Parts: sequence; C-alpha cells; structure tokens
Amino acid sequence: MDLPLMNIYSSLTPVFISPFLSAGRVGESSLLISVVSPLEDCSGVSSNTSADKKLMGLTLIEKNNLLTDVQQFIRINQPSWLNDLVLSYECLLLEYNDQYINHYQVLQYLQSLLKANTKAPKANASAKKNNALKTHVVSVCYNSTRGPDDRERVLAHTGLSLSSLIRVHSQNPYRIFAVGFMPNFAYLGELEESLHIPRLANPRLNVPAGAVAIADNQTAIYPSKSPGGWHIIGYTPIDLINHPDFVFEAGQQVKFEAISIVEFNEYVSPPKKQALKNA
Amino acid sequence: MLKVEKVSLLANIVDEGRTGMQGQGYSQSGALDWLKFYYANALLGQTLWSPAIEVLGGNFCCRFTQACVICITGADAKLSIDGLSISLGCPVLISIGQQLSIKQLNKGLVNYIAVKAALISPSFGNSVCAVAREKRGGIRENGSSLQKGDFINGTPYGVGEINKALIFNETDHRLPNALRHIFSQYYAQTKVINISLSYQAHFFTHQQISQFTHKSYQVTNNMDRMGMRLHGKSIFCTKKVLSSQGMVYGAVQIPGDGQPIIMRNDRQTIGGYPIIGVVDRLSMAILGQTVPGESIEFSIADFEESRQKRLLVCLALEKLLARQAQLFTHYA
Repeated sequence: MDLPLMNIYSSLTPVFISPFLSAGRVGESSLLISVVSPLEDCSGVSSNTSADKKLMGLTLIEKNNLLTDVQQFIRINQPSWLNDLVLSYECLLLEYNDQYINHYQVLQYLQSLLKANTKAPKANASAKKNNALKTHVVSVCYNSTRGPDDRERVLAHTGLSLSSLIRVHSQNPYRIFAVGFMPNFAYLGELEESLHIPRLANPRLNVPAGAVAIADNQTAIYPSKSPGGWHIIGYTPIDLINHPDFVFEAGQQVKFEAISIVEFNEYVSPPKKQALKNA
Repeated sequence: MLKVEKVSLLANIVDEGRTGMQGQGYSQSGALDWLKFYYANALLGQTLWSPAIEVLGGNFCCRFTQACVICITGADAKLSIDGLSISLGCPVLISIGQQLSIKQLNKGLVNYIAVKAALISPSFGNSVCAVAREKRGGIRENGSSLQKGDFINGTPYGVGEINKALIFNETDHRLPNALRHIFSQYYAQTKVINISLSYQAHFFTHQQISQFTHKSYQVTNNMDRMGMRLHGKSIFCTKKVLSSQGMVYGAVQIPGDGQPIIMRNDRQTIGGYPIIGVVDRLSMAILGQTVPGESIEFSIADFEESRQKRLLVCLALEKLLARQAQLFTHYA
C-alpha cells in the first residue's frame, strides 16, 4: 500500500513532553524519550567532539540526569500499562501494553507527569530522596592475578604509576549510563582523561567474570565470562550475576574500593537466593 | 506430565517473555512465532500465553505420563501419536504413556506443543523462557534448552472427550477472517515484511530508503533467536557515531557493511548501530517461520495501522478461545 510521504514520516516527528524532553514513537507500543538540545536534532543522536558538546548546551551527565529523573517519576507513579524501561546514555525507551491504551494517551500521561513534577519540586525532592538512586560500592583488587590483565600496557600508555592508577580510578563514583550488552554489564563514565586508552585492537576471546576494565572515557565490570576489547586493570571478587544487592541500573552510581589480594581471597559470597517457582 | 525423549535441534519451554528486566540487560525472549503459539492455546480454550513447548527445526519426541489434551501448530510437519497420524491445529486426547513424534517437513521452522494443563517450570522475570547466552531461565534456570531425559511437570485439566466441533484446519471457513487472512501470508513466495520508519530513519536519504524497499533481501545462514542477518542491497546511514540505545523487538539495525539485521526475541537490550525502522509484530511472527535462503521484501507501513491489524488478530484469537473453551466437556 502506498501511503503519502507525510504519513510514513509522521512517526519520526517527536512530540515535546516537557521543555527539554521529546518522545517519539519507535515501535507499535514503544516510545523513545530523548533530551532536546538547542542545536541538536530530536533523535537523541549526538556527536562526541568537545566543540559540539559545548554548543549543545547539555553535557552527557546532565542529559542522563534528566532521563534518570523521568525514569524515577514513572516508576514512582507505577502506571498499570508499563512493561519495560531501558535507560541508555541519552535516551529512555518506554515499552507499554497497548491493548487498552494508545500512544497519544501515553504521551499525555508523560506530559502531565512531568508538568506535575516540575510544579512541585520540593515535594518531589523528598520523594526522590526516599527513593534515592543507589551508589554501589564495588571492591576491586588492582594487584590481582586472578586472570589476564593489561596493567602494564595501561601504565605504559598513560605514564602513570600503579598507585596513581588505583587512586585515579577509584577516587570518584561513576555514573551508570547504560546497562546492556549482557545482563548486569554497566557502562560507567566518565573516566578521567589521564586514564583514557583506546580499545584493544584485537579483543580477547575470553574475559573472565569479575574483570574490571577501561576503554576510552568509560570503565566497566564484566559480570560473566565473555569476549571483550577493554583493558583489564583488576578483578572484583563479587559475583555480579547472583549477588542480590548488586543489581545495576542506569542512573545509579558505582564507586570502586581498592582491596588487597588477601582481602580478595578471603571474600565470601552470600548464599544464592532460592529460585522462584510457578505455582 | 511429559518426558522429552528426542530433540534433534532445539526445544524450549516458552511463553510471552520477560517483563521489567530489560533495564538490567536481560532479553525479553518469548515465542519466536507468537501468533502460532497463541493459536495453539486458543484452540485448547486456555489463556493465550500459557507456557508451551517450542520445537525449532528437525525432530522431536516426548512421552506423556498423564492423560491430557494437546494441540500442535506451526511448521508443516509429520505428527504422530504412537505411530498414528494426527493433524496440525487439532486438539487431541492423549492417554497415559503415549508418545508424540514431530518430524518437520519443508515449510516453516517452529512448532508449538500446547498442553491443556498448568505446566510447572521455574520463573524468571515472570517468564519460563530460557536464554542460553544469559545462562538464565528455563527448567534448569541456567538458560539451557530442553534435552533428552528432561521432565516437565504439570497438572492436566481433566477432559472427557473431544467434541468434533473443536477440530478444523487453518483454511476452514469457520475460522475468523482475520486469522485466515494472516495465516495465508505465512508461506508466500516472497514474504512481504511490514516495516515502520523510526529511530534514525531520517539519517537515511530518500534514495537509500527507496532502495531498501525496492529489491528483496535474502535470509542468510546467520540467523538465530537473537537476530536475522539479511543479504542484499547495502544501505548506508549518514550518521556514523551513535550512543547505544534500547532496541525494540523487530528493530532493523544497519551496521557498517550496510547489510540489515532484524533484531528478534533474544536480542541484546541496547545496541550501537543505527536503526532504520521496526518490523511490525505480525510480520515478526511470519519471520519466525522463515528459513535461510528465503526472500523477503520490505514494505513501509504506519505504526498505528500495524497495531490495529494486530489487535484485530488478537481479538479473533480471543473469540476462538472462548468458543473452544465452551466446547470442551470436563470431568470433575
């Protein structure tokens, strides 16, 4: 069937849901919420050069903060039709059950929700505090010989000493910009410039579980064994797949805490949770 | 309830998939051909998304340890109970100890075995689905699929006999029109796949989009539950750098080499390649039965049109479900 061009592209025209946020239909029952910057298009795609970043007005963290807030508002409100929320860098994917609601109604809901939340910032500040986004403290052994590592390569490239590397990597908490690629794999940023190093030209076929790694302006922890092209600088003894307290979500923070080899070896995992069974 | 005796390729216990887990990096998963999955349950007069067994390719055998009613839908296959032939899409009464055998033929790839029972299997994210890559879900809760010797528990709903009015095939005039129409599109020579432009579509020139819909693409051998790689006219995005974004079911990614990839049930939750649009869910069900070598053609559709078509099909399924449920005679 030949639809007029305007209809074909109508789903590409996002709708403003607040002064800085737009939402576009990306699926039959999905909306993609993006941050609108003055000199940027409305799709949430951006360039990474620092000159462009300055022109765009909002930094990546500022954009991510806006979206984290939206995610929190929606969660607190608990609409019955909500299926999933996937927050990633500069956009928030909202998937809903569209049997009894259409996308116009979801857009209206978002508009009212955001209007209500900006009108009463004080009330919401306390609500936000009570549901405060978590800061996970992850122990890392930077001297670990648990598996392969790229410490020497990183030290050579950056010109830092091992103690400086440990200090720079663990001093500040990182923002979780996205969780994906594999379960509980959190993309953390932004890494200090002194630690920037491009990805491995030849990715490893097997990065062991618990590896803490860096690449460009990001750092991450591999929750389970997988191929990977980031530089390994240490290992965490925490089992990120099964530990009930370490469930990563975009918008939260991660703070690394250096531990010794002895502490690493003495770490004891909490017992596994009983699996749920269908009645 | 039933014991798996033979799996030649892949078999899994499935339902609609997980909800609320994508934010932590877990795939939605779910039945590959959701339409035939729903259809099997509708024919048995039970909730459309009741867990069923999905058989992907090849042969499958299982033995029932309790009397129950089953119904098999999906790919063209040779079905038999203890050697006696049965048809697709027909509720069948099974006695204790009987063996079901499925031998897939040439059309389609996936069969669904629905059982009129409450199948019991561990749940993750509100779903029984297993995703091997994640090592999560399924009967062993580690993402592994069904293997020879596996036992699936369940409580059958007692049924006395099969009313003849319960049985009919996919071209039967008693089937709602909406269902007959969509079923007829399953095995077309070149499948027409509806896609709605979204995500980064405006970074593709009109010419690129025109080329994308003008010629057909071939399904390559690079296909699995995660995605389907296509071969055909390369198309290119003017935007090269993109930060990762959440990927919807049916999203069509265009990587550097210009060959499209359709993201399916077990896809990763976020991806960094530009996306030109999203295949509608009815077309995704048809793709569930598409094998390497087949040709598909993209046709631009509107999201709302696709949604309305899908809702009509689901309404028809619910009506069928209600009709079938009434016709089953139950023993207390």
